[in-house]
Amino acid sequence: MGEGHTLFSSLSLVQCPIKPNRSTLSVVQYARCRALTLGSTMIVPKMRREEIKKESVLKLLGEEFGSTLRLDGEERDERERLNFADFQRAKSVCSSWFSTSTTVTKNQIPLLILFPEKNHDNCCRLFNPEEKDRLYKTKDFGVGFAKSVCIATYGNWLLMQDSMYNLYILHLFTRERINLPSVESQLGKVKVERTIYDEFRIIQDESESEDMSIRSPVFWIDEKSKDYIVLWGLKRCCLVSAKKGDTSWSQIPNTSDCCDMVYKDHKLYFLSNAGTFQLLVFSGDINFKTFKQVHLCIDNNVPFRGTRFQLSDPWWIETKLVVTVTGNVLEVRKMWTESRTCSFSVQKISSSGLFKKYEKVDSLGDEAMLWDLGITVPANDIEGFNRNCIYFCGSPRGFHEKNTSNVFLFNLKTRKVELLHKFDCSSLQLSRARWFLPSLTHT
Amino acid sequence: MSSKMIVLMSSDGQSFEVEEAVAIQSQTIAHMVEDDCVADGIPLANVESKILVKVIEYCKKYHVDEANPISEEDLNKWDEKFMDLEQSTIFELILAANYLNIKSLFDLTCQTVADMIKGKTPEEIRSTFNIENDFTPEEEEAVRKENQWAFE
Repeated sequence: MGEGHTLFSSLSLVQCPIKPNRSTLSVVQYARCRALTLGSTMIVPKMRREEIKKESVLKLLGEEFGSTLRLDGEERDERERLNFADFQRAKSVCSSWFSTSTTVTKNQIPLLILFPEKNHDNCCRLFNPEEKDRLYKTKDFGVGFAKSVCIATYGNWLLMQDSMYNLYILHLFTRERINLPSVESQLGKVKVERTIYDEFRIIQDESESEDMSIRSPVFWIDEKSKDYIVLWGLKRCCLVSAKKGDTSWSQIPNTSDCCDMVYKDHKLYFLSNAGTFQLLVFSGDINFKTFKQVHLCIDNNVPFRGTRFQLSDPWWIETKLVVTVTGNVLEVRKMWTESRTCSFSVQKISSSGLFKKYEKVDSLGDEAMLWDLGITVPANDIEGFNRNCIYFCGSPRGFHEKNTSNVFLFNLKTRKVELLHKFDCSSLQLSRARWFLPSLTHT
Repeated sequence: MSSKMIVLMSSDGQSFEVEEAVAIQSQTIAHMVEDDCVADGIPLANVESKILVKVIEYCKKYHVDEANPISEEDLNKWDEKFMDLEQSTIFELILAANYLNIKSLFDLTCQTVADMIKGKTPEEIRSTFNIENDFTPEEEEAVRKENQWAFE
């Protein structure tokens, strides 16, 4: 029982006014002074005493369960008492266990969210790699949910896009919905118009194009204040962002042709298709925050970064930006080869003056990469997750299938793909799966 | 050479003589020994004899020396048998281990409860441990909203 973890040690010890000597009376006093627990007086009638005892035990257990989920490095107990799912259930049992759930965990446990097929139900399923034979079902999201697509996640929130390119943020558990500005509301040089058939006209300088495309969407949201910021690449034109209170999307200058981006700790990591890497920070006065570029480096080799086909092997390449736990930036390529296998190459980006430098990465060390989220997480403390692996979802039939309900991992040591789990699509009618990091704090 | 003995008195008036070396696995008792006030026995106002017996049994087993050489593996097996108890007794043991400040016993008892909770629904947990659903209406609402997981 370390400091602060149990009721016993968290109560301040009452100092005895008299120095204990050998008489029985002062020993009794001393015993009471050195060790206090709730409701331990002899005068209380027996039934009430039993209730008080029960309450004390429940409080002790609640603190134990809550404290061992607090993964703070040295303070962590050797054994985690309850895993994430059990802890959630325990919270619902009684008020003593519910109120201890306000601890914040630094570590988060990735879960897989599985979306329903159209015309099936409107519930998501959650998969915990620690409990392979169970699936948790969320409540019904209502008609129309299955017609929307989840394009990004942050904590317990999903960024959804419906068939008419309307964007909104949805809370996975409370189903709270935050609508975002319509995509045609743009502040900046590029104009977007929606035609009567819900098609688009995108006008940049002199050129016009049709087809809307929303590239590499990312967002951040604060659970309590519901403060948020959402970013995506408007086709090849520029990056756009909107924060809470905005009625339009603001275009960020000098950010064009998005290959991929990651938004972490209010830093925007941006990789363009030309290979240019930019680091922007979202800062400024509370009422006027903007993105300021703090770093830029360009690529003197010019291979096009975007997802593409090639004539040579590998014939399909997808490039992604990944930010590690410690803030290293990686450029990761997922490739499909002639032999119909999937493989990954990982390079660390740094810069030498204006130019980008690459360093091959052979091992992620104790971290695991979540392809969907563009980040790595420390894997040693998480059951069911292996270090030095890349977790991604795919389809048994090939990279291009939209149905991505199989869970794979690429082991960087063996350089082989392993199947983590195969979901029974026929009975479950699942369309897509993605990894997310639910937040364990009490909303 | 005889070992120093301490007398522990349960809340219901029974006395138990225990070797000091065994008893000081309880940090509470260890402090009192240090402060030299155990001569007339230690009254444990919060521990009934039924539970004190179990606590002493545990401490004796865990006092490992030449007379009691026991491997960790054997201790773990013994733990399992030891914790094969009624739920109310387990709860009493948690309180006693906390009161007497015996970390290993506290960990063991809490982990036993955690193991009993694993995989159970809140209703099942409540019925196993005879816990009342004592949420205030506000808490009930917050819990309901936050934990909308059904189980398949």
